[in-house]
Amino acid sequence: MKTEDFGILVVDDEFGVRDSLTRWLQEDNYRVDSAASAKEALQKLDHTRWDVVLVDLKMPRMDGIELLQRIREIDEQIVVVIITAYATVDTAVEAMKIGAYDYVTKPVDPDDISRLIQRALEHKTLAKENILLKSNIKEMQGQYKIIGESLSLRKCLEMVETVAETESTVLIRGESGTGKELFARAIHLASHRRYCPLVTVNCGALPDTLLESELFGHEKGAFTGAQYRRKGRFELADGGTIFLDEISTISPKTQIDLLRVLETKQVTRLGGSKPLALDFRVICATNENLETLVKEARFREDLYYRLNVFTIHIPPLRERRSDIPLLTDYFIQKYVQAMNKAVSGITSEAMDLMVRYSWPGNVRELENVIERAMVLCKQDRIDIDALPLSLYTQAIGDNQDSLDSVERAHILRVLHRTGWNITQSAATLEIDRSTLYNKIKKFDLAR
Amino acid sequence: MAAIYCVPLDGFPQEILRQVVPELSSIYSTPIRLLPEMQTAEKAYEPVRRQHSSTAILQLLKSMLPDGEDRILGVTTADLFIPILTFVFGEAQLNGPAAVVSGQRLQNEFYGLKANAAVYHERLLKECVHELGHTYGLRHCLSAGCVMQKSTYVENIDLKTAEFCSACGGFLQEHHRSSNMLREV
Repeated sequence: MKTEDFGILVVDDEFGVRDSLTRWLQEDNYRVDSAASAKEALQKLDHTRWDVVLVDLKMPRMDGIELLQRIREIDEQIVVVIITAYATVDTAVEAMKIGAYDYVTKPVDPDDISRLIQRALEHKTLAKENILLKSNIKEMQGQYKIIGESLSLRKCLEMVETVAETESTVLIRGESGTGKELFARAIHLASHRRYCPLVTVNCGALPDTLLESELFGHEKGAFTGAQYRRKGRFELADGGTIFLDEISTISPKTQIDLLRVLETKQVTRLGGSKPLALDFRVICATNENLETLVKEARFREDLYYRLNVFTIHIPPLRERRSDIPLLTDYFIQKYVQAMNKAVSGITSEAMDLMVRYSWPGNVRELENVIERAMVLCKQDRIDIDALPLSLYTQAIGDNQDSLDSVERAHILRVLHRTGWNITQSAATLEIDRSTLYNKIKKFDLAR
Repeated sequence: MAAIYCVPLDGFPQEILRQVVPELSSIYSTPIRLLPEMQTAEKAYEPVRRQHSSTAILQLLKSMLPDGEDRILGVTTADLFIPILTFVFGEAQLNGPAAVVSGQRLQNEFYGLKANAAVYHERLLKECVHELGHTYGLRHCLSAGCVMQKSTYVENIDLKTAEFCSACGGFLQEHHRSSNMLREV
């Protein structure tokens, strides 16, 4: 920021001090004004934005301390610097206890006051940046919103709130696509660790040897190709949270190492000898049945108990169908913005299909269906013809694999696409119009 | 054409000023007239601080000028202060006619070092250019080496040059141009 962007208010009943300081600061190009009393200062604080206020401690009627308290009430972000004589240093220290940034004894060395003002303004800028960053984080929290009002989902969210402020390890269980990572992020963002990193490791995506080095880091020369020392994910998560996705896929050897790290909260890099004490919280997720894996001796029982401290089961989408319309609307809005398309919603027929579908791929599948439909949609609302065939076949017939149900679904789809234009639909289906009428009658199709 | 008047104050050596004046005149492209010595102690000396008030000296200097477009620069041997600061190397009226510079803290001897006339001359010139710059409306500059950089201790003065950066130089030229135009009108 340029110096003219900063406003400094000088408050001193002594004209010489007030005037000389004002003129001296003006040479630095700050926006400067002065007040001869606390009352005048408060009036100026009412009308104008000030970044730093330099306040004389001893003033008639309202002194510097009282003015400082009033400024704190008006705007906590204003940096207040106390100006005092030698005799009142104790009071100046007292002033700092109630929120003054610093104090100077007059007369002051030019270099000291110059540095003090610079530091005060840097402090102000950092405080402002801090507020901005925190609000950005809040905005980001909004981006990772968990959508749904079903009872089962609300229970999950209550559990997130409950466990977030604790240090307990959390195991998130749920089918693929239910939003396990989103829940992990929600726990992290609701915890006191939210301003520190959330480090995600997809254990299933890395081969075992690479996973070890990824998790624990390595020293230079630890293995062929280790040309540099590298920090592991646990180290990167220091102060924050580490999210281990697909935890069931890790090898028995890594399971032992992981157990030791979780128990001691210490990590030794591969090829290293010195353990590093770290502060992290572990959230892990799986879509497999860990109990079965333990019984089959494919997952260590001690690690299972270490991880299974607090478990959140995320219900599959088919068990919370009431959330499907909400999710559909949410994703439509999301892609309206992303694709800049004028789509206002979804037809009731299409929504009906969406709600009846079983969603084996859960929310992820639903999002993909909406994204695809948004690409195909040519009207202002998503209709059946923009939805994939699988939604029809499953939703329309009980016996979805029968020839009749496939034929019915296909005819209905073509009819929707042509807006129930019989001639066009018959041409597309390569049958004559009377056959099409017979089929509509046979399958009891209606607009 | 507007002039710059230069006044030795409180026994400041005329011969030192005579060395500084030509360079100052060349930097400002303005004729500089050297005035007879003047005493300021009666109005500006503050016995409690044992220093001279630079603000009081500025008032004295200003009262000597008849024309609003002219500038007056006083150079003194006295140690200067403003009420809030322990000392100043000089002071000027921002966009006003008067400026004052003290040679006291520009000398090596003040810091217990061996006297060096060349260094003293260089510092004095820089401070005179700097304070006169304020009278033309220039504020402190952040460009490295620019004479309008702020100096809160003597080493700061040694680090900068006696020249204006392009922005400050441009500002000054513009100021001169508009002043001449006003005078012609």
